[in-house]
Amino acid sequence: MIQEIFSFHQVENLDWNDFIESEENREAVACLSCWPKSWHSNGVIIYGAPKVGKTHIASLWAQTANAIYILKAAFSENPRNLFDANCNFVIDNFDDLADIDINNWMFDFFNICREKNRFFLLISRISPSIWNIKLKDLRSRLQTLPAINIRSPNDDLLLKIAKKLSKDFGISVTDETLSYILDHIRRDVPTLSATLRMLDKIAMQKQKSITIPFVRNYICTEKDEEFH
Amino acid sequence: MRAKVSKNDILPAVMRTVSIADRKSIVPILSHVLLEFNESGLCIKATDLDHSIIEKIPAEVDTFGTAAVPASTLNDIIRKASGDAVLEFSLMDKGSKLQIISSRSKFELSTLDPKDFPEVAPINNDFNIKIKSEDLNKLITRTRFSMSPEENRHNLNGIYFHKEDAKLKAASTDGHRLSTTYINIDIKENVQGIIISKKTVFEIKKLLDTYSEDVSMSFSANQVQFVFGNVTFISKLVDGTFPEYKRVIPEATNDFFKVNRQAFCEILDRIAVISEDKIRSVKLELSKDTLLCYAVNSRVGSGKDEIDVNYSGDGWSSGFNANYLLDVATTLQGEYLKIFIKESLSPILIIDESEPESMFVVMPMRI
Repeated sequence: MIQEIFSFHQVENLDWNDFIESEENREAVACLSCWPKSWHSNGVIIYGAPKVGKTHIASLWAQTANAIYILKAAFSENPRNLFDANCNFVIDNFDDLADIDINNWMFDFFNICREKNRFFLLISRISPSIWNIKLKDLRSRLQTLPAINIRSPNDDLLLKIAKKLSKDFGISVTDETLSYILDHIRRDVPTLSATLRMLDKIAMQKQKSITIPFVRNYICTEKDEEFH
Repeated sequence: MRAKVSKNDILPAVMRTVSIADRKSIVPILSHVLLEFNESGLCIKATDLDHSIIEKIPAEVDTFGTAAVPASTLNDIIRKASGDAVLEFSLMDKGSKLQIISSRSKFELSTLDPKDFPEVAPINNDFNIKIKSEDLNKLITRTRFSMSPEENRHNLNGIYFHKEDAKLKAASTDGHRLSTTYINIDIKENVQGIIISKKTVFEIKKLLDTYSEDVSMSFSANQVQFVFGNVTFISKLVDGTFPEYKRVIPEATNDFFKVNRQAFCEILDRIAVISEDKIRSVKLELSKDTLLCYAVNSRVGSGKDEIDVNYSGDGWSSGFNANYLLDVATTLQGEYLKIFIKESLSPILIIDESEPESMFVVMPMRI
């Protein structure tokens, strides 16, 4: 007998109080929090592995800079249309736009930003050095932008992220249990997020707390097998 | 300090404060109640730091004074005082003892320094809502049973109150079922959504059972306050975000059956005795105008029963925790329930036709 549960969409808290500052993202934080004073160009590129906090920091900058997110549909429109409103811009998952030809659009967008003194943030999962930019002029313009890497988190930061994710999911899990989880999974944020989501779902189904004995039933690694 | 208080006045107040005072606290003062005898009578306060109660009762006060005494001992002394006795309170030994005399009984209770008692002050907020006690009672009774029992799932561990247009809505969910209802209110201001803790819900419900006037409800950033005449209850709000619950409420379509509420309760209760002890799972099966309810337990055996319903669809079957359906059916009062169905593993929506403002969603079980 398995009790079905509601699939509530868990909203990630994306305000400053929930942002975890660390060595890995310090450069990005310094750059974005000093906008526009310390910006020497109209745009900045932030890149890093999935779930290292790029979207979070971009949303914080978007609030400060009154920036709007440019959605995929906008790339088929004249970029000038975006400049009617008095705002700046964020392009999330820039590396994911490979399936559409945005070279000319981006070149125009870049130039209009300069002309109208507007700012933009490009977010990417991969380094701009391996972006597939065909238009030479655009490539050279993008190369003038500062590119800041948010590195993958170390153990301390992973624990802080685990605490934040549990808070976002609305569950209280002790540090000891979170450390146990981190010791038994691949140490990256997507795996941590997926594991907590899975444990949260089972715990809700069974109306149980997420404790070490509970976790032990659902996470079994080679380390465990060696131990046993 | 010297004062006289009638047992009939003080007993209900002390009984209420004793459930707030934290008997198990490692901070001794939190297991105590504060008695303040002043010009307006007796003011009793108790707190566990998250929940506080302030209650004013009439007293004949000769000389003013304050004492912090163990809540449960005081409760027992007053409860066991004979008949409708008048209790005489006086402080002794420079305030280190509180003497209580009732008829020929005499008690001397050790006190703690009242200065150590945490500050318990009402919320001074211009913004408050006046709610009829029957309305507040409805918001609570229709939703309290689906609060999450898991202490560590704090955002589901209470009732979510929020304003929408001219309605004050209440909702709760434990992830398996969801209850929501509303009352109409006349407030123009925007009110932030708040989650009221489970303990607050139970305490407020107890107060509502003996109170029939309007209740004043006010908020601050992290507290909520209910005023029931001379009783003020203040509680910390649950720090969490209630899920976007409306998206899991199924649409009321044409696929539904109508069942007599009483008959539905009886059949569920009858058949669930066969199920496992903890999860009383039953299977429901619909055919034209008939609802079959059955349960199979490999250890005990099986049972089935059927009742007449109003249904003209193509048939449907699904498994449920019988307790979840009974919680809904027993809290409602109308004669008929309308149960909206979809697929076997889809949630069902239960509505009492005489109370369409209340909606209940129950997730099925894979049996």
